[in-house]
Amino acid sequence: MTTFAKNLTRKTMLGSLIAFSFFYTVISPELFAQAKPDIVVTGRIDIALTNLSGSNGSAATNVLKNDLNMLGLFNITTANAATILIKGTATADSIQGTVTDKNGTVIINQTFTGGWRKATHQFADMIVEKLTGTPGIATSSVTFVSAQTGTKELYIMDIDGANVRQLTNDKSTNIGPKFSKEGNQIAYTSWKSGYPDVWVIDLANNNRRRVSFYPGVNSGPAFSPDGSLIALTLSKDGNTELYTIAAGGGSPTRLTRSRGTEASPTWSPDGSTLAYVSDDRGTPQLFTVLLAGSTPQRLKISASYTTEPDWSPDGAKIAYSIQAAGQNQISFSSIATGEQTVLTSSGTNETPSWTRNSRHLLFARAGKLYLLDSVSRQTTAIENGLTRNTEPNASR
Amino acid sequence: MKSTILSLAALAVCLSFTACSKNVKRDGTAGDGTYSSGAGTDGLYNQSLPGRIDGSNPELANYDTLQAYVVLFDFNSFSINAAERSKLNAIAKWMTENSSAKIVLAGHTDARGTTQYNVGLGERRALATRDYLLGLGADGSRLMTITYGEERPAVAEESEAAYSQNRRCAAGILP
Repeated sequence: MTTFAKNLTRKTMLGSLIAFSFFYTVISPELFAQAKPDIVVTGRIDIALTNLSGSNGSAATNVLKNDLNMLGLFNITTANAATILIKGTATADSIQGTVTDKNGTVIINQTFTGGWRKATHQFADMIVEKLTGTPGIATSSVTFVSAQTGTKELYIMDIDGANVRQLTNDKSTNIGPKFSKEGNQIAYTSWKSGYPDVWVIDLANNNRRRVSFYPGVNSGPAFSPDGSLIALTLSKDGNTELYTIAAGGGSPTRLTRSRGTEASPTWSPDGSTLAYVSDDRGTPQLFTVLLAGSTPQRLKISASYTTEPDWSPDGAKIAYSIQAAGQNQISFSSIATGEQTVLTSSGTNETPSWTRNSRHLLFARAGKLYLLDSVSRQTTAIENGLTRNTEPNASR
Repeated sequence: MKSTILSLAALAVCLSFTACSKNVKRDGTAGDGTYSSGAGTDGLYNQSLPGRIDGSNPELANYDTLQAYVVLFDFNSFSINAAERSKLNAIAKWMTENSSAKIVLAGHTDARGTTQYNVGLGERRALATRDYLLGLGADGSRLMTITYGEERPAVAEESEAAYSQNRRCAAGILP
């Protein structure tokens, strides 16, 4: 972490201490030993962005501005008011970017290549990382579902909504796309065969393979962090239970045994534990179970309908959606303290998905996709030109 | 590479059918209580499903014949309501009278709730319906399940009246 980021963190510690604290959870500490506290930056850094020069300067300036604005971490202001100055030159292929502080000390002076748009995102990510000590997310991809064509198809785009590409055209129903940790594969549920099966798309060549098609339901796949396993829901043994299968195929290993419905597995970053939904106690609640086998433990969350868990990449939090008064709100709980934070307040907000910085989340509301800062609650619509969008998932 | 994937897929199909042929026998004696083991849970809930029927596509199932017997559920519930039992009796009777017919039980949810959980809930409704029919002596090897979650509402409206029609399990006759 840079000294700059350290200072900023210290300054804003008070802010994190008075963060919304509602409920307390008792969780066995060894189960979540991998959880680490995250850096919380609640203040905004004042930056000045001089329009980039060069043949693609204007387009690159807009992309860079958007990349920095959507995070809620920066306040773009005049050179006089700013503590950080950003300049650069953009051609069709590359960006030369310079970042200095007020005293002229160079923080970044680098050329990024691979096409101006990608290069701009890389520059944005380096700015974020150098100034805040947390990873940038501008180079992330998002996979999601849109029913604009009349049926639910899978798509992929840049996190700013550009470069939308349709991945399936099955005229069936495809739901729940989730990236592998490397971001090169997407697992999802599809009724393409007529039955609900689990499929994997290899993004390098767009090949698809059906990895699970047992009798009954095959749904909700999630790659393990090392990519070797896929957790999913199967009913082949007579009830909807959680299983893992080898990502390359193989016989399933059963993780749960209940009379209810188990769904939506999400992995702890160390691959030891899964959080998931079970309605075994009447209404859907979140539970955890060890991959090696254990008695499921309920996460104590104050809501009677809690679904869609997503474990943050730093292991410290689980995001989920809660249902209350006919609406759905995005929330998360700290693993270490159980402190519950409700992030949205109105509408039907669904499918939270952490980005790689463990601070910003994607979610869907009324057919649109949004980026949400879990600290400031700034919510930014992601304009992708499509309607009826659901189930966003960010590459990490 | 492609052929490897294909042969793996073929192997997986074989394996799943091998497993199923065993289960068909077990399901055939379902009424006698021959269930797979399941410590601490009701045996019915651990009975393996019959394999998918080769070449059958539930998209082509006929849901018209047994349409009067669509089983309805309460919000967020997979319990069979007493008011629905006569429908299940009728399905079981129809199965006895049409002893070669294979049935797919399609579980659905209303639009409230979240996508992935509703996929599970829909399957759970289909399984609860199947369990009830097994209890009436129906032949489990002729009872497939499928879930559509909230994806295929019977009434595409956002109202309590529509929701109550969408929380259902429909019996389709497989071609």
